[in-house]
Amino acid sequence: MASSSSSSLSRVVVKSSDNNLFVVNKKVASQSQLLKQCIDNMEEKGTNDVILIPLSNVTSNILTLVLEYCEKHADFADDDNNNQELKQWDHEFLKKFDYATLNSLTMAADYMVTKSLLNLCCQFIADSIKDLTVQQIRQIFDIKNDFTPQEEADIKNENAWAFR
Amino acid sequence: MESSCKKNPKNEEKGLGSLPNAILVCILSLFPTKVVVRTSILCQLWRYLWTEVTAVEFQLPFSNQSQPMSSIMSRLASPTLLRFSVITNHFDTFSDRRCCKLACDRKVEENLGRKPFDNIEMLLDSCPLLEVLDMRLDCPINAPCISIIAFNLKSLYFKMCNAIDQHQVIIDAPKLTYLYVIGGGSLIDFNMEPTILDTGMDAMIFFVKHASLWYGYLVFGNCTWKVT
Repeated sequence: MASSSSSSLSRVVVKSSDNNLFVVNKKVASQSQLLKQCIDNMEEKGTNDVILIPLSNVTSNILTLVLEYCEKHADFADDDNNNQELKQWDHEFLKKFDYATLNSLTMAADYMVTKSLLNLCCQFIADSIKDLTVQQIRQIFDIKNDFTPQEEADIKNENAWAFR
Repeated sequence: MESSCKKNPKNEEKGLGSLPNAILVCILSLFPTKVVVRTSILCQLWRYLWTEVTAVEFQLPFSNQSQPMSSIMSRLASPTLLRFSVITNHFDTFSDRRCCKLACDRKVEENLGRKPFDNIEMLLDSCPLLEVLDMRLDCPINAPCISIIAFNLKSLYFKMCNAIDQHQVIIDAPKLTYLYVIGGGSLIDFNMEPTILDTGMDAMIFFVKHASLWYGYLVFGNCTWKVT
């Protein structure tokens, strides 16, 4: 199923939900399975036009971040996920965001099917909340406690070992 | 090609409030099971969310009782389990057939009359998608032969301490890329050519092909076991 190289494109244009255009190198775009699928489909049809891919769920500022990630990772081979430099970069990359940005970034990674970024975000969120108290977790996830004191006691009782 | 880009009303989300359940479950699957269960107290929506996790990680004993493991396993709703990890020095806890049977009942028909250590085998039978198996059993196991047959298994960490004779570990896991076995004396049979294996630092394994089977000799300290 290799597409003929004669019609292969080197760049695509991605449009964010707020109508900003981003010109993206194909290798970078291919980090996202969603974009890669679009490119592959167009190439199969033999199109020579520049492809425009609208992403109705991703805003410019989040798309910029996803593309920054893709750009960095495009320089490394697929099996290079254990590369220390890359790991360090990933960590520094996520460290600077607040939870709201992480939220949008995670959803964009999911929508754009950038699995490594999605896994990275999930791991980062898990690491940063696993030692927090119930109250702190409620705050981060914007959760209102809707249990009655009785229900709460029942749940604790049901899983007593976990709450010790 | 042109799509009508409706402008989404900007939700003033603070924090992680709008993550869909599927992603929340991915995050929960990265927690130790004890932490995961605690999320049931957050609110009604989260009460049973943890049962969807695709990974369980037990460190036993939590509290001198074995029910947690059985009750947790029986409440899991996820059809697939990708990672199973148990670290215990109470083999009694693990050999509690009920817990593994419960795990398996989600998928597999009852399978009685098996050898004691079929718990692992039962687990593997019932979770064909399992990718990570981590068993650290600081307790003697009385089974002469343990078969780990798992088509999707990528990582196997297996530690047992056996005062008595050697036992045999048979591994048939064509996708295995990480293997770490520590045992009182083990011979590892590979039913397939092992792929790139990254072995743990204190175990060394040599591979030999013999009669169309691959054998791994686990070299441990000064001892080597061979196929006879």
